[in-house]
Amino acid sequence: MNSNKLNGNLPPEVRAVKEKLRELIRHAALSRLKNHADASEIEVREMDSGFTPGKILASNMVFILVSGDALRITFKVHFNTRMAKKLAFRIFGGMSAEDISEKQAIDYFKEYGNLVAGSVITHFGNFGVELGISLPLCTRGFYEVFSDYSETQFPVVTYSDFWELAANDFSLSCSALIEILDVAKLGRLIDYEIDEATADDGEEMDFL
Amino acid sequence: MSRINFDLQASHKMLMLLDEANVNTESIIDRIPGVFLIVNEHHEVLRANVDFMDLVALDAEDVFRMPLSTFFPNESWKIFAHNIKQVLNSENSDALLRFEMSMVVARCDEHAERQFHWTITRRNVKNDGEGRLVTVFGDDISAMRAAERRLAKVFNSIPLGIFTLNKDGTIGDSFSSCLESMLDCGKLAGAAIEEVLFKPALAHMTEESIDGIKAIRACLGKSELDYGKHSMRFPTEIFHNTKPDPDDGLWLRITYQPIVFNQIVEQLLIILEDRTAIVNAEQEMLVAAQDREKAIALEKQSLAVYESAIRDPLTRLYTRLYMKDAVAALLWKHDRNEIPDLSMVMFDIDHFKRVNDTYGHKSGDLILARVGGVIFDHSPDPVIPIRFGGEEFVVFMPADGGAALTFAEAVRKEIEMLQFDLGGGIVIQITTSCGVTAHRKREVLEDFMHRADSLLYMAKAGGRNQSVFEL
Repeated sequence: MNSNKLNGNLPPEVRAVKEKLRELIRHAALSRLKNHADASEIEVREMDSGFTPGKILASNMVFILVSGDALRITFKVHFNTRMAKKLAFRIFGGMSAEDISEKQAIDYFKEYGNLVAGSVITHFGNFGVELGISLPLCTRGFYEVFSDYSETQFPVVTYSDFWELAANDFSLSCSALIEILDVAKLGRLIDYEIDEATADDGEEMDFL
Repeated sequence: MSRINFDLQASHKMLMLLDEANVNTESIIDRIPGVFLIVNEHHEVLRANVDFMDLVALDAEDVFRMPLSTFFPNESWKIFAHNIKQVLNSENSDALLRFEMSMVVARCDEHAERQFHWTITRRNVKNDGEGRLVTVFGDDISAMRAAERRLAKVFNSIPLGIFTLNKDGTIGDSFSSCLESMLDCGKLAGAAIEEVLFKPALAHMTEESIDGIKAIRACLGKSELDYGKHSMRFPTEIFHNTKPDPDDGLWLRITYQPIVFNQIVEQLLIILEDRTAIVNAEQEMLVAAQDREKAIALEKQSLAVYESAIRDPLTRLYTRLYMKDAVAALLWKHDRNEIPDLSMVMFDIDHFKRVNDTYGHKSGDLILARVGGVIFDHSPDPVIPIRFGGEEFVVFMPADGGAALTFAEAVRKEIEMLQFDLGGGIVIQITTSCGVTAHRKREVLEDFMHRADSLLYMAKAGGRNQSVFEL
């Protein structure tokens, strides 16, 4: 993506907040998946150079909203059920991927969405920004064509981020539509150190 | 709880409802009957329903991003892709295109092409991620087409010419392969019915039938209520001849069926039946019947001639002509024991010449007729009574000499009692003499008769009015 185009004439601190938010969400997605899939080798990869926002990334997607006064994040994980079954069967106590139903595969990624959102709000809680999370929803990947990825700078700063989480035997696409409603409340984020230990917490989430 | 939390709680409930609605909607889309696809402008499949996946024997993830061209024969795909382009480039955002095309299916029990009726429409999207999209609906019409083909085969195999007549009097669709050969015309669609059907038949049509051709045009495009009065005048049988030989044509029976839409006769379904073979057979049967009548008349005539030849018109007894064949058969049967006995009685009217000379031939004929009548009345089948000549009579019977003598005596006594009124107050009586004998095996007719004649002579010599016999 063209970062000049994305950032335009934004003040440097807003650019820094945008970059930090991207980093934090990617970090949450990566760390939660390592745990959820029990695969430490997973790494973040950038999308193909030919990627255009709105392109359908898989047959299904789970999305979850993280929302507060300062910020809204729509996090999406794009997956195929065949791959989801491979990852999920251990959690659901099955002998193999064939034992996993479609619903269980979907629930696996709904739970992953929850974990990522939970991790994000934990980080923000650390520097006093309160956020809530929605229920995760699953729908067909096709509906990505109706997503609005228009970038805005004022009054709300809107932008999106897309990345892949790749392991030896699978690859998963994630995306986040980020809307900064009050950049002043996020000022502390710029200097926030994303602590691996903090991200790996075992706190109970306050599901609403 | 903060306002955020209240808001999220409300949203949470909404999301639960949406989640449920989403699952149901997806389930409905999955179960759309026929083929349902969403395809991007690079012709990749983005969404497919269950029927489609069943047809191509793939699951949703296999199908995702598969090139749609995979499921079409090469040449068909070019047209399909062109049609997608047409819809995408149309200025009308609601543009849709309908067409028929076969698709390759790969179910476990078949791997073949099936005919579909396709509808392509455009979908508007929020981003450029997939470019422009189209939805593709496909109705499997292969069963309907197969039924049509079977029906067409039936139509083609029956020896009928079936076609529709358009409102303007031109031929529309033809439904049988033999129609062109029946009408001896290569290009029927669009031709005027008068040209191809009636013009080659005008020579044999009555004025009434020719007038009926106008009635065909008159009913087209008019109310179905008037159809009846027109149809009564339609020509129903013509001799259709396009050949130089005046006999080398076809007898066609024509039936008409109106095709009505909104009470208006829009078309006529016309069925031609080639009745040439039937008409020819009927004509042959007519000729044969006439020949048979002639033969019967001739036979009757011959029989009459034969009867006159073998029957003596005066006495109704057989003539000598008949005797030869009929008696020969009796002798043959007696020689071979097929009949046990055969006898002969020979009668001669006494002094007949004197009666003739005295009272004239007319009186003689009267006597001969009455005597013949007596003999005839005493001779049931298979007795053969014959007027042998003049006043001489011979009777053959399959009986022994005793029975023959009884017969001879009965006849002689009845004749003796007859009274002949010759007019002028003259009444006479006559007598007869008889020779009676039985046939000897292998005796020829001449010898047999000679013996009877000898006995007759003896009866004459013995005083007449008596029977002399040799048993």
